[in-house]
Amino acid sequence: MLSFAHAGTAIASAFIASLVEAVEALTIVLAVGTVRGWRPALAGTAAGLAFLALLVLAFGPLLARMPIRYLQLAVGVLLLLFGMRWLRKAILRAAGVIALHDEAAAFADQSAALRAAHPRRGWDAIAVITAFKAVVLEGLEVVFIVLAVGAAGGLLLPASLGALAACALVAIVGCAVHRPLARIPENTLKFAVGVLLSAFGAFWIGEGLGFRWPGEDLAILGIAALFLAAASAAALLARRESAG
Amino acid sequence: MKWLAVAAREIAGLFVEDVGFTLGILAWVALAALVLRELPVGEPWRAAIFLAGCLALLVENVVRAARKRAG
Repeated sequence: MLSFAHAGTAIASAFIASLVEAVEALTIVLAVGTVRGWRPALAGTAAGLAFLALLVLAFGPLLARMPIRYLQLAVGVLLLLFGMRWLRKAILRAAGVIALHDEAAAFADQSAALRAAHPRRGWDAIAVITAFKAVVLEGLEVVFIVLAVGAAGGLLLPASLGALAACALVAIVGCAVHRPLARIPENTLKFAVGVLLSAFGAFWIGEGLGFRWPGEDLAILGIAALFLAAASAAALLARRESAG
Repeated sequence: MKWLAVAAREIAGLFVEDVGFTLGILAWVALAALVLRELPVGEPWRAAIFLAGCLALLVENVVRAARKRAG
């Protein structure tokens, strides 16, 4: 039976992670559309989405065939590596050790690079490929999160719905405002996703190794709370260290 | 073939940023699988020890990275 703790955290992880990645992809697609035209930007985006859908259709059923213990362990290790990498970076950004990601600056850089590229002649391959690459590279992270968060617990559908809702939301807002979504608190979202994915990763590794978590499925909320507390403490310590 | 190398680098980049941190996590998981599973401690202590190790790795690496940048 699906527990609320599991389904809720799977949906929240997929939604927030997809929101962050979709905002980054939108920035590049907007730059392509503004500088080189909307037709190649949309063609590259559509091709990228089709490629990602093929990946999900190819790898989703393969994962379902793996023995559950191995699947939990493999997915857990990948989630822990992925989640702790995000969390580490978000902590260092929150502590002011490394600079925050700036969507407006990314948009300006991408626009300048596209203006400097070869002038378009007929089919604008540069524009199509730039949009395609942006959607595929950012989308790969979304696909990984959806498969990883959903596959081990039989939650592919809720995780996919969370991701789709985030992508639709970003697309609608992006179409409405026609500029990069620079006001999204990206680092706060990355911090939250890092906490959730790390918690999922640790939980699945424990399950895969046969460790018993207190509270069973509900333990995931406690693990997330402990990751949040440790990450907050690490941010404070890092701020102190970097201040000298 | 260049695009394959780029794709492989991008995929590896999803999981690895600080090589020492990644190796530390993998080593801790391996230790949990080989040693912690065999230790004569009751449940749920194995899970608690494993989680504590993950949290300690995170805090230690972040503080070390901040110290390195400052100095």
